[in-house]
Amino acid sequence: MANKQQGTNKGRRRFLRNLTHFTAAAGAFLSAPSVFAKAAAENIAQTVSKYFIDGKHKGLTVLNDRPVNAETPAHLLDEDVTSADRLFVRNNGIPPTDIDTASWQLTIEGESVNKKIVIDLDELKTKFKHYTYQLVLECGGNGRSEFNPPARGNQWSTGAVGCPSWTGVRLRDVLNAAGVKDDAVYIGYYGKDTHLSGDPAKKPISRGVPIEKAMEKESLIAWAINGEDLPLMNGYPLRLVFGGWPASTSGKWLEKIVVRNREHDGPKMGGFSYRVPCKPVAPGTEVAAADMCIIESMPVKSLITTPRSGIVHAIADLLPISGHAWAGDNSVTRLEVSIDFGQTWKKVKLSKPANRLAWQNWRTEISFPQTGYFEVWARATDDQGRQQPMVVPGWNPRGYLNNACHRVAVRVTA
Amino acid sequence: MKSLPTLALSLLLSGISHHALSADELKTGPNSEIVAQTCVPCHSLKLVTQNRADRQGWLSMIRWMQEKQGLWPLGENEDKILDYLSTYYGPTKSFRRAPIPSELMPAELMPAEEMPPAES
Repeated sequence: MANKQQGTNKGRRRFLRNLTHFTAAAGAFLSAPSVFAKAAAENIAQTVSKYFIDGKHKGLTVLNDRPVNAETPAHLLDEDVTSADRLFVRNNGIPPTDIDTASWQLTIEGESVNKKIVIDLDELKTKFKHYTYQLVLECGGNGRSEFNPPARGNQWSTGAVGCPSWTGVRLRDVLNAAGVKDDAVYIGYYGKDTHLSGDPAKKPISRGVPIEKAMEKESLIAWAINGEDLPLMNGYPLRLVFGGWPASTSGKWLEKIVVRNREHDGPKMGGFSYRVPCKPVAPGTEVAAADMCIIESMPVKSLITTPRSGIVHAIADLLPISGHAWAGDNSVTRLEVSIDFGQTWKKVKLSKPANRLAWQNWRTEISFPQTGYFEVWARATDDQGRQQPMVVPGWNPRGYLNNACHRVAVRVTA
Repeated sequence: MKSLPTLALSLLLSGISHHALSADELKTGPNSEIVAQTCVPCHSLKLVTQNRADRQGWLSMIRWMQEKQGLWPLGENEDKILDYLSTYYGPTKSFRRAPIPSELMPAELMPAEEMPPAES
């Protein structure tokens, strides 16, 4: 991975070069001094660099700096197990700043627990058995940028996804310590992040999952990614992780879980947030809030992480292609690639997941029939026979669940 | 054979009702009348309304008509016509799937030897 920094530099170099070309052309036309181009290029370089996020890979694409939201370019997701510094960042509010792990407490309460319990971090780590699972975390809005008419919000392309190894305790073990009543239907979380408005009475987000998902063995209260503390931006010191469901269900900076006898009703559970029309609608349709349904398991999807899009490739060589595939609560049974816009597909060897709800890796090599412009497409099929669509799937008001085939561009030269 | 401007004038004089009918096919907006008057002498307005282009695209169509089809110089009307066409018949952004974003495309002008090595 010695070259990982070059991705950033290449993009910027190309951008600056293009800028210089543009300015030089404009300069020739306007007889403007070329020092202007240089100064402009330096200004832009500074503007770009100041948006790097502490503890995160510099190649991440920052979509928003208040609140901080950043996604991972596909080629940086090439690892089988996603590094912590490459995992995307999606914040609804302002992360806590003064975190004292010694005094951090987790409360379990709600209508459907037998007794409220309060546990500190040490107790949590000593009282309950530890589990480690590799779990896919994907934002429900990953792929939003492709919807048309456009949906408002962070314009995620393909990089609001990752699959690190998470360590923590089973949520069900902790819930059972409080005692779950028979009438429990949902859990909701509360975190220490604060509302963008600064109003301490408002929580930025408080979502959750049905009790059945909460009680699955892979549903974790986690404190570590790949054996190390969670990065601050990913929920340090404690968070929920529900593999295969919209990442907004996996609350960060976790301090309270409520077990509810009805669907949880915290901020961003209702209205249009993390919901799609209960019945399919035509693009651009206005949908009443009452006709929106909560997203649960995410759809089948895959990424091409090698090569990076935009490469130049010599026709004499085989081109190694690899990536990952995942399917929410399901598994992926088939992965195919095409270099002719889906006219023909080649089946590719696909690994078994490290555990349920982990992504699966795939790898192959292809040759090209002639020089010119090609796109490599990947298409996954889940164990229910559902495939990724080649076009953008069902339009929805907030632009969730785009699982269209990933595409990378390759210029094949002699 | 009549020159195009003469043809236009005679059509305008002899076919006012036809022209008024045709103008209804255009979206109503500033200068739509000028566009209708300029276009209908030679072709249906349907040929306008089924096309989409930005200002440069519409200008290139006008230049092509001037070079090959005998369209007369449009003078001060040219800007008005381009304003109207690029506003009301601009490129459609409605697609089921857009091309791969430009920043992910091969840089055609970048020599291969300057490309960074592939990721390991």
